[in-house]
Amino acid sequence: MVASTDSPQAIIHAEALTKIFRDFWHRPKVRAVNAIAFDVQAGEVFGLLGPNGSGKTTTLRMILGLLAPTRGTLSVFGRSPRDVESKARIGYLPEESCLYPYLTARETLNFYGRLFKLTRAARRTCIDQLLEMTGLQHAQHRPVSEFSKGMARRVGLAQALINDPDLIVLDEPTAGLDPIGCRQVKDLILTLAKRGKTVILSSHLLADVEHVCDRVAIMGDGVILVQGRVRDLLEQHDRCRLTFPALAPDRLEAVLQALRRETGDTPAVDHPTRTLEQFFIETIDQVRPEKAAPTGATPAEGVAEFLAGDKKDRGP
Amino acid sequence: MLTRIIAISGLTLRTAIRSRVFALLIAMVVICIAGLPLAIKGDGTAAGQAQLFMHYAFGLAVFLLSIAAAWAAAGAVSLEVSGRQMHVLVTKPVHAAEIWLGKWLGLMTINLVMLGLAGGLMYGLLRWTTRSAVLSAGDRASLREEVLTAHSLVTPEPPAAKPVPPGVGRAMFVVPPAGTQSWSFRVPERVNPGDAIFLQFQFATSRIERQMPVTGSWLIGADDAQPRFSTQRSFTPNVSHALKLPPARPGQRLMVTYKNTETATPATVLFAADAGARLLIRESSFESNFIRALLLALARLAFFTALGLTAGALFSFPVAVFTAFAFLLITGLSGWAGTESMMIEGDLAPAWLAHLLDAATRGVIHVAHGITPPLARFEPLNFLPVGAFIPWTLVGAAWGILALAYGGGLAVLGIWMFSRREMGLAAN
Ligand SMILES: Nc1ncnc2c1ncn2[C@@H]1O[C@H](COP(=O)(O)OP(=O)(O)OP(=O)(O)O)[C@@H](O)[C@H]1O
Ligand SMILES: [Mg+2]
Repeated sequence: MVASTDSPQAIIHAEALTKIFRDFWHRPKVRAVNAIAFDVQAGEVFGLLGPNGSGKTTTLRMILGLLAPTRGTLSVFGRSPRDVESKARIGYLPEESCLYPYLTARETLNFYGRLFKLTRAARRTCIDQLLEMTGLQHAQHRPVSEFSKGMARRVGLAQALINDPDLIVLDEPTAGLDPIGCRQVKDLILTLAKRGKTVILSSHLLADVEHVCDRVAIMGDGVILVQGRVRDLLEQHDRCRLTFPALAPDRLEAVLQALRRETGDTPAVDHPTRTLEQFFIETIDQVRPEKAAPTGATPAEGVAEFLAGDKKDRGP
Repeated sequence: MLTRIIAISGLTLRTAIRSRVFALLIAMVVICIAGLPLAIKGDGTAAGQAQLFMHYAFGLAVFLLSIAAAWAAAGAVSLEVSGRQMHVLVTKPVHAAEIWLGKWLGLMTINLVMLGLAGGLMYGLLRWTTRSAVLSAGDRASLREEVLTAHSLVTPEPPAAKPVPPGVGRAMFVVPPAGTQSWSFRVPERVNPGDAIFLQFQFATSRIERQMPVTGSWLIGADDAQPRFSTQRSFTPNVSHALKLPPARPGQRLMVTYKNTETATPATVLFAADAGARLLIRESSFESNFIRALLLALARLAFFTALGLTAGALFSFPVAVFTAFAFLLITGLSGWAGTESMMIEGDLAPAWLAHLLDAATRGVIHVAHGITPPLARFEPLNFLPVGAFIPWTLVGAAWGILALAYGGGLAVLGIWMFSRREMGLAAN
């Protein structure tokens, strides 16, 4: 890995990065990305947030060499984004599933595995584990053109991970997934990050991003409005929250009295609620085992062994 | 490199099979070839019928497969770009060259299978329609000697008498009434002693009626003996004739003499110096010639596939198909225009305009000639149906020029442009 000049650990380095889409006559049409600068460090989970059309996908496509920057510098692993060799260390989940309609899920993964020159045996174990992780085992011999949106997305995710990449680029990874799938993807990202992998993702689902990203950049109309560590951005340093078992009303009143005396302010009291996500997952877990023949994706536990394990660890 | 190329070609093949492109093509080719014997009526002879069948069946099959090859190739890359599968593929460690070559190999596998199938079907039908149960022994013999063979022409040794030098057309031997003309041939060493040798000749006359027969006699003598063969008959001018000669030894010299014996309406007979009289010798079996004809056709498909692929690497599918077919049209037209002389009528336009148009047309044709491959030179139809031998050197030249030079040039262009293309722009 060739280090970029100013930050030796940066996997992705962007400076004054601009993308202008032009029309047929080469006249500027849309300034999709406008002079943005950011660095993604090794082992970091970096989130691009922003409303529709704010330039997230455009930025990711430039990182992958699918679009050429109009201006500015951009390096990935210290090289040009178009460098073919460094692609061996990258996994990409595109915004919408772009699968070969006539292949089955298994053939799709096998095809991509061959591009990375994985041996037949290595491919088989990788694919088995990925199919299990994405809950597609029972659908592995069906053509992907028959798949539902979320199932196709799961194939896309499996495809992005087949080479156990060092840099994973996920364009709206949770779009189209059911809550269990969303949760799995988030767990997956955390697992990968723990192994020192670098992840850059885009999303406009803030709750997703909040849980997994170390740092985020919020984009709007092609510019980065804010960027920084999630904790730093969200934490209100002048306020605290306590959580404790429910108390009898008179005991609670006594505690509140003491707090009021200390802060000179009235504390707010409520019951913590489960998130809807948590609730949904628990409900589905109760129902699922009774269904005999699944037609969609089945929930699966955990993360593929070759992605979670440390025997193959080659993180930067 | 090879692993990825094979993976990509396998994918291309699989897509073609599962999308039923293959099935459709097979159905089309089978219907065309199998239906042909019912539709065509030859000159009544078995040889004529077989010749016609081969001409149309082979021509139609190659035509269909050429269109299909260019079409499928144009879609192979461009449809994956617009379908965004290419977005993912180019983010894998795959070079543009591997994509191009993988696609080409996959498509060529389809071409090979299709051509093999069409060839097998044609050969089977040919054998079936000329089997011993339906044809007399004589018919079968003439079929074997005239059509189901691979012969080449032997030109005479330099003549003793100089032909009349070209005035308007080509150099001619002129044979006045009661006059004679002789040619000397050496039978090539490679001739099989048992094989029949033919004398092929064609002549014109001084008469206005182009088709009125002329009586003449042919006398064939060997260098070591008395005349061994002679015949006197009336022959139709401006038609190619073949006289079967008795077997000759390899290396033997044959003296061939024509005597103008027409007395009823005397006429002068003219033989073209270069193609008036030639020996027809058997070079190889029909089967091996057939395979070489298929290889010529495959070289052509290799070029069309490269053309379609590169067009698809540069443009979207409709534009790619249009580009590829336009190029094919230009190739066809420049081949045709090269043989026709252009004339623009002076009455219709002022002279300077006519000149200008003429010059412009010539310029365009010249350029078209420069950039289009010499497909006509490697046209199997010029050989196979007439039983003409296709040398291996021609097959080699076809692959060298059509597949390697033109296909390779297109590959370089396509790979270069594809690797520079902004994949993310497509059809957003
Ligand atoms: N190929 C293209 N040609 C022209 N304009 C484009 C092209 N691709 C994107 N754009 C424009 O660039 C801007 C940013 O698009 P982009 O896809 O990056 O947004 P996004 O942040 O990913 O949005 P979303 O949340 O909807 O996915 C939009 O205005 C879009 O119309
Ligand atoms: Mg987007």
